[in-house]
Amino acid sequence: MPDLTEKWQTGDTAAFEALFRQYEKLVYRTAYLITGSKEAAEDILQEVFVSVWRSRHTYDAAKGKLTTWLHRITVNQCSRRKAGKASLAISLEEKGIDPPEMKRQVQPEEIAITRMEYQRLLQAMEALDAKHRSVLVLRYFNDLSYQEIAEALEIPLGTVKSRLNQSLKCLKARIEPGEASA
Amino acid sequence: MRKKEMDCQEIQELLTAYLDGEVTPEEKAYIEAHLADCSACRAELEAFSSIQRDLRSALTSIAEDAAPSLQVWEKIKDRLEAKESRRGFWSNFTFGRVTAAATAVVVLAIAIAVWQFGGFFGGMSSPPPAPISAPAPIEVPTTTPATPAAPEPTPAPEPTMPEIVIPDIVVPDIEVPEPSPFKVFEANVAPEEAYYLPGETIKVELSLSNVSSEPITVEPYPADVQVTSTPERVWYVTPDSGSMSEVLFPGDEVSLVFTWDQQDQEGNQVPSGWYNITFKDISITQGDSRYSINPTARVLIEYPQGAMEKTIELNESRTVNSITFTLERIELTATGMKVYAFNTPPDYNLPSGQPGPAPSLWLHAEAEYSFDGEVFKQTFPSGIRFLENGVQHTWGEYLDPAPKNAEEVTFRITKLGDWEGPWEFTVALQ
Repeated sequence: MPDLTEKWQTGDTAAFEALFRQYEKLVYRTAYLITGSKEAAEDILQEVFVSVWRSRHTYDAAKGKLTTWLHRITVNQCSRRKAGKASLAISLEEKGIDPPEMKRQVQPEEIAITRMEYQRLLQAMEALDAKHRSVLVLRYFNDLSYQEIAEALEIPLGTVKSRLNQSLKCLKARIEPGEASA
Repeated sequence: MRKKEMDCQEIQELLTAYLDGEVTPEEKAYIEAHLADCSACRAELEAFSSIQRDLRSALTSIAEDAAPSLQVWEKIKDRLEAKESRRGFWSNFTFGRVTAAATAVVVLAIAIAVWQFGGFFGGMSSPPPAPISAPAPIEVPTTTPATPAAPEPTPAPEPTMPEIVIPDIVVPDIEVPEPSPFKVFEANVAPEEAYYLPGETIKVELSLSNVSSEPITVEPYPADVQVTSTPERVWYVTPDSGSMSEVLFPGDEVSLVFTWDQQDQEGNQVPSGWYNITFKDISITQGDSRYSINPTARVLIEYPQGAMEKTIELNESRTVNSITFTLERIELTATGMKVYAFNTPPDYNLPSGQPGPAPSLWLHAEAEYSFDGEVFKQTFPSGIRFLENGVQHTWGEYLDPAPKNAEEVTFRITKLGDWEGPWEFTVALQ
């Protein structure tokens, strides 16, 4: 939709609604995974799009992708919130899902083990601050390259690398407590 | 041995990037050569790889059936409508000029005035279209709902001054007034809020229309326009345009366009920050009724180097004259600074079941701020929120953003009611 940007930027509300529809899930899910709270994610989604509308004049398509800009606003909004009590791991438990990649026939106990592993991982994520959770989510959920993450968060490429590495180390230490002190 | 340990450490720093395909070819070769004969690093690689895989699956799995509620869009719409009601956010996007459908009997007077730097050029050939304004009419105040958009008869109301937030609990949501049979005229500024780069020409349009069934007189016409930085410093004023007046017959709309090249009265570029552009003291008369309005647009001139975006948690306290203020937090965004402070006034208590303490304790605080020792800028009085043990003060309306390279901000609370400060805080930003 090449015209969409131009139209909402000039104040066309129908185009702005179309923009919202196109990106609401992306923003909401990103915020949800960073904050661990659906309630916070919904507030953040609101704030992000109110902010997009108010600063529509400042977005310059020549300087970067729209999604990069959206990610930046989303992450900024997430880091403004204090970490809540909500937990992704609990949501996973409520969901009671089969992990999506398990297409082959699996034994029930195998699913249970995988779900437990996921839960430990998500619980371990809670130990990270918003800065580190943000890079994890942008990389492993939104599938952004390191360069794209650097642009979205306006941080150096080296910082992206080190934050990701530190985050994975921290997760590893927390899901393998035996090795944590090593 | 020592060499190998160093290698392992270095390698392990790179493993995440290696798995993500984000290393240089040289690094890749180096890592692979090392992995070939280091089982510890191979184990580490396997562990990281497994975490990455599980993390992707876990995040995807949990996100896939999380979706926002259907009300979010409505809430966004409501907020933007409330904010932009003066120019009719949702209803005015069929642009065009109002023409009094009535015909030959009615004299259709559409007058356009463009000021440019003191020059006044009448009758510009094709002015930009004026939004047809729907909500937020200025009404004859027979029944006056206490909304910020509803004007008072005289003296001059300032419909776009930022509201002072008395506690959230007692302030009803801002409602766009319903069109009323008593409506006399509509006044809209567009854009009501906009951002510009230094040197860009700023253009603000005021449209005024007569929506009643009798003629109205607008004076002075064209109105003077004043550019102020929040809240009081005057940077530019259009020269006195005399005491002309303009009669608008029912259905007529006039449009005034003010353009400003960001220069002060002496021809110097004004500093970055927020400015108010006010169409001053426009008087509208119909019969014995007279209304005075000051429609205002707000523009942000951005810093060439960009603005700093971060939140600083402080919780620092200063006590002056036995009154303690705690500066809790400073939020910096591209469009401004928001400051939160907390104070417990003497004898403060919050009676249960009441929206707030005794009205004598409804005290707003005055403050000023400066980045890197520049001239202090005054804030509007704080918004206040009553909490169990004291009052939270917020300054968030149109404080300038911080320049990206700013070293520090000094925030000085000068007064709380009759108590004199200053309670001064200097906060490092880098």
